[in-house]
Amino acid sequence: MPTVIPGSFEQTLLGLTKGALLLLFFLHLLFSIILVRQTKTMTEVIEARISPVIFLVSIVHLIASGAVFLGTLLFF
Amino acid sequence: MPDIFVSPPTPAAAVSDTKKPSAAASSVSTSLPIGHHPFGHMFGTFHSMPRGLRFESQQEDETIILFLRQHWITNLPWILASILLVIVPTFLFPLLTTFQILPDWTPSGFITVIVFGWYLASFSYIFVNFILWYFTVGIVTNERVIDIEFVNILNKKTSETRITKIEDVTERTAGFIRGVFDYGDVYVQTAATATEFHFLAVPHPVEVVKVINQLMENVEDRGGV
Repeated sequence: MPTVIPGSFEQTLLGLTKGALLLLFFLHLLFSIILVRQTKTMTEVIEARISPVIFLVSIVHLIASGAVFLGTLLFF
Repeated sequence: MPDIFVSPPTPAAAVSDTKKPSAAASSVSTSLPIGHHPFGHMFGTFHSMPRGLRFESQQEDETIILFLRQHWITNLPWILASILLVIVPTFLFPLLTTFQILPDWTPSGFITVIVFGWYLASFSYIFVNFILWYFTVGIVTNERVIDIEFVNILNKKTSETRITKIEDVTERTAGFIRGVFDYGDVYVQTAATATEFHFLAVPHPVEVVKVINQLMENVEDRGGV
């Protein structure tokens, strides 16, 4: 059985976990950008009175996605 | 020909800010309440003569007679899934800490990041499902029938045909749930080969067929103009 230096395995695992989470949140950020664009298109196709609110929600979703990505990058 | 459906009188104040419907549109109405919400009932699934609603290619003299979405009951699967997604972390994460499933060296911020990520993904799921339902609509105007379908977030399909080109309109309501909630599919067959519109799972399909048939008769009475 190979010798494991105490702490190094945990360090590696944490690094991999952080990397995977960052990748996931980055992909979600891209998805959020596409969602904003598509929501804009949708609200132009159907102009209801609630359309600006739906567009605003997509913007808030994008901001939240960016915040979670940055939060993970900086504090985790 | 007598009108099959007669619209109830609407308050003058409610219609003052809207364009008056065209002659053809005003001769077709439904037995259901018309424009009964000043905001066109934002989340409604069956609007007759809606106010405050427009679509991209709508012409100046074109009046929306029916504005249809899938019946709200069709949203039940994703709504239930969403409720589960929201509830699960409240049980899952306390269990993880109580039974010490996570190793001791797990950073304190790990759970926080996972919870934020979970709720972000859950919100995305809810929002995407909602907008796909909200913006997938069937529209019947005094001139055209339009089917706007968002299959997924990147896939939009729009079909339209003029009332004069419609040959046959049929509806299909099959199953217990559809019978109870009065919703079904409406198929509009046009003169063009293999061109068929379908409004899937729309409320009051019989009413929709009646309105389209009446519009077709109106057009025939006017000499197919």
